[in-house]
Amino acid sequence: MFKNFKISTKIILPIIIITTIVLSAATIYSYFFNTKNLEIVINSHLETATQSRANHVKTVIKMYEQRARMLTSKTWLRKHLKSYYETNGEEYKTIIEEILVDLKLENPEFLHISIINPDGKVVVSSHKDFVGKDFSNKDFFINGKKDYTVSDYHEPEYDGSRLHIAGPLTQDGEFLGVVAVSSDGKTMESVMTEYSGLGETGQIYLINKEGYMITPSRFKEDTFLKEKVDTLNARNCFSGAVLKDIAKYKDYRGSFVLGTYQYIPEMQWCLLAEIDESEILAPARDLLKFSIIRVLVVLTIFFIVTLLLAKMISKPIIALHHGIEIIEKGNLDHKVATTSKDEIGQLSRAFDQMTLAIKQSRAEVDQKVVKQTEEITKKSIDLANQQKAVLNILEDVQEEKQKSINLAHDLKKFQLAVANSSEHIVITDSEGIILYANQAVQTITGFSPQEIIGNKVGTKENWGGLMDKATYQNLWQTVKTSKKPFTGEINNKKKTGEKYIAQANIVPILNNQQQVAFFVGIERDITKAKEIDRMKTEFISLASHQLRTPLSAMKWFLEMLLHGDAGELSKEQTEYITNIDQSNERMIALVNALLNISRIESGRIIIDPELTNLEELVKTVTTELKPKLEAKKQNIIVSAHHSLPKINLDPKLIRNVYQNLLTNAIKYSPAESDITIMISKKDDQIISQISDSGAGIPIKEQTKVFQKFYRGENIVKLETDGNGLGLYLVKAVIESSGGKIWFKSEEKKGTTFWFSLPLKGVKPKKGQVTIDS
Amino acid sequence: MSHQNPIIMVIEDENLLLQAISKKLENNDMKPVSCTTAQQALDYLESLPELPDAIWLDFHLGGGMDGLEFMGKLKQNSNWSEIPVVVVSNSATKDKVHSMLALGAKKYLLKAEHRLDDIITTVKEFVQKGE
Repeated sequence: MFKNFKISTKIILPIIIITTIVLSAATIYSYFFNTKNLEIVINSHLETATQSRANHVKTVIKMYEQRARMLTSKTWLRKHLKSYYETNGEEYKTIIEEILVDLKLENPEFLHISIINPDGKVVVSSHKDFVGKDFSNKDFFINGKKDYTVSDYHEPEYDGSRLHIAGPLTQDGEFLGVVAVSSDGKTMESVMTEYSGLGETGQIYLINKEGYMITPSRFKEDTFLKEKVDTLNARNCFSGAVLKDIAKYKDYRGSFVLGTYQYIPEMQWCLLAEIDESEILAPARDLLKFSIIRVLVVLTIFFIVTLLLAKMISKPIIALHHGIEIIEKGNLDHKVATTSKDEIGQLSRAFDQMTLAIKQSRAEVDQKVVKQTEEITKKSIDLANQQKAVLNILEDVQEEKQKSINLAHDLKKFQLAVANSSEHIVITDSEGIILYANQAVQTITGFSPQEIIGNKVGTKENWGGLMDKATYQNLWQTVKTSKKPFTGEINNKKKTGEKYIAQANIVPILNNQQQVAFFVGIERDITKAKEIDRMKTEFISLASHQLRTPLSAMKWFLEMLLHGDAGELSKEQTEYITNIDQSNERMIALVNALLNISRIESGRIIIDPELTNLEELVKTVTTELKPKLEAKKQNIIVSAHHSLPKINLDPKLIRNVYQNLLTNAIKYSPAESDITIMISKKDDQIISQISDSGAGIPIKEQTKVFQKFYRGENIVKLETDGNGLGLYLVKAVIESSGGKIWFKSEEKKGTTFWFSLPLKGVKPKKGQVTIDS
Repeated sequence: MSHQNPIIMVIEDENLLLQAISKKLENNDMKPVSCTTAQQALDYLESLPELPDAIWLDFHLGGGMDGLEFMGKLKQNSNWSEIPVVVVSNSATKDKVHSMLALGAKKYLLKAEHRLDDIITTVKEFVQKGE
């Protein structure tokens, strides 16, 4: 069983048991030692008390004898007694009685005093009842005849008397009788009831030869001659045994007592001194209790200390155990790592090392296993790969099949697209033999695919034969020798013989050896487009020639008229002709504006940028406008950014913008007002600002400002001159130059226009016409 | 060209304009030689006793030969190549202006943009330079 205990228990248990045994033994020993010592002390004390009390008793008896002797020594008592004997006269008897009463009064301890004649009959007594009684067989009479004796009383029914004191009465050698005194024995009693030095339970008492108690008990009432004491010491006392050792026994009450005794041979009495064992042992018991408490306290402290000690010892062991449990579960990385340097610490470190060793060896095993597993895995992967490869091949086949299907779909789509395209599409071999022609070929040329497949493309047999030799050679040179796509306009003819212009794109398709395998020719009939284009050009031409020519004629003749080339004109004539001239100038301006719009809208305008100083440009414009400014006494203020860079832009176009905006400002501003031009730089833009304090643009019309032919309602009334094309043109020009235009205007207050131009300038654009030409 | 009144050959297919120009030249003490076609002008150049001091040439001309072609022919003849030519046309596209100036035209003016007086002043300047 002990084997199964924990280490702490194993440590604690024996220590506790041994301590308990030792302490218990010590306590018991000390208890018994103390008890013994106490008993010895008490015993010797009792013995002393017994002896001294016995002596005291003897002294008291002597005292009683002495008193009796004093009684009998009264000569006149003896005289009167002799006289009584002799005369038998009653008067003597009365005198003796009186004497006895007096003596009784003198000795309160004496209950009765009687005089007994030598025959044993009471002759005179202080107690009248005694007179005449025969005490001849009584001990005290028998003994009292010889000497003065004290004897104990044997008649319990005669309450009060305890002792008899008797002594002989003699007169001149003549025996007169015996004086007998019965005493209540108070002196004796007071001697025996003195318990001081005997504690709570100590008592001393006398027993007569019959064993009856003759002095009072400390514990019981009415014991005189009634309480028979038959205890160990009482027996030993009467048997004459020598008092030795400590006697412990049950006393007359049944209590355990420790007692001593002393035999008083004069009276055949035994004096017994006893004290309760419980009282004697009380201090020892108290001590025992205290000892037991002390033992318990010590044991408790011991237990706690031992427990702590055991814990201290067992803690690292538990830690070790815990560690082992963790490691048992498979965590070989766990370290018990006890820091203590004692044996347990050493053990735990040794254990850690062992764990490490196990781990290493396991790692080696694991490595081997891993290696083998890897090999197996590798093999299985290889196998899987092979499977995969097979599957892949299958998938590839599937994919290829799908691809083929997809390709077929794509091909179908392209076929459909090509077949239904509105463009004329043909595919030829490297020699130009037609392999394919789409539907549009028939639509455009009139030749059905059946008719032309197998023919050489673009020859007299089909739509060709009209190309000049140089173009024809250039075409084949490009696509066949240089193997590059050809793009150009060519002249063709339809099956009906009708000629048309085609925009042709011919692309050589090369094989892997970079040799021409096919040609794809895509052609579009652009005859109509060309026609429209030509018509636009014709319009401009018409406008410029057919309109400008009569306008020029009018201009010049009017000029001549006004100049007086046809003779002096009247004032009125001059005024009218001036009006006609001004109208003609407006017409010229309108034609110019229309031409410019036509150019811009057709996208044929040339943008020819050059590095331009905007400030200078503005100044040339203001210089040009000087006559108009002077006419209205207006002032133009030009301010430009101090380090304005030159910008790459078409000065002709931008000049037109400034011209337009400034002309408007002059036209719609009141006389003597200021017009300001500010040219500034903001980020990557050049901002031009033209402000006037003119009529302004009504808010509701502000959205229409840049519309073609728009003129503000307010200014139409103000100024009839104007065609509503200026700002439209300005906006078109600025936007074609990569800029923006915006404005702020309030009616009757003025208008400010801003336009931006990119600092980086504008890219050149090829075209056919310039502005104002 | 030492004579008082410089001869100005005007080649202009528009009759009204031709009249106005001629009248104005006369008013400015110059002798106009009016031609409505380029061919007529070439004929005059060959037949006239005196060569003109300057030529006023329109670009667009009827009669099969335009101003550009005339200019080419003029420059090919060493007798005529020094005569200053001012082109006055209804249109002044970049190509036209460039090709004319390249062939030696002194100036290219747009009809409607200029007063007759101004053009004559310009022509006069070239005549005087020639002297």
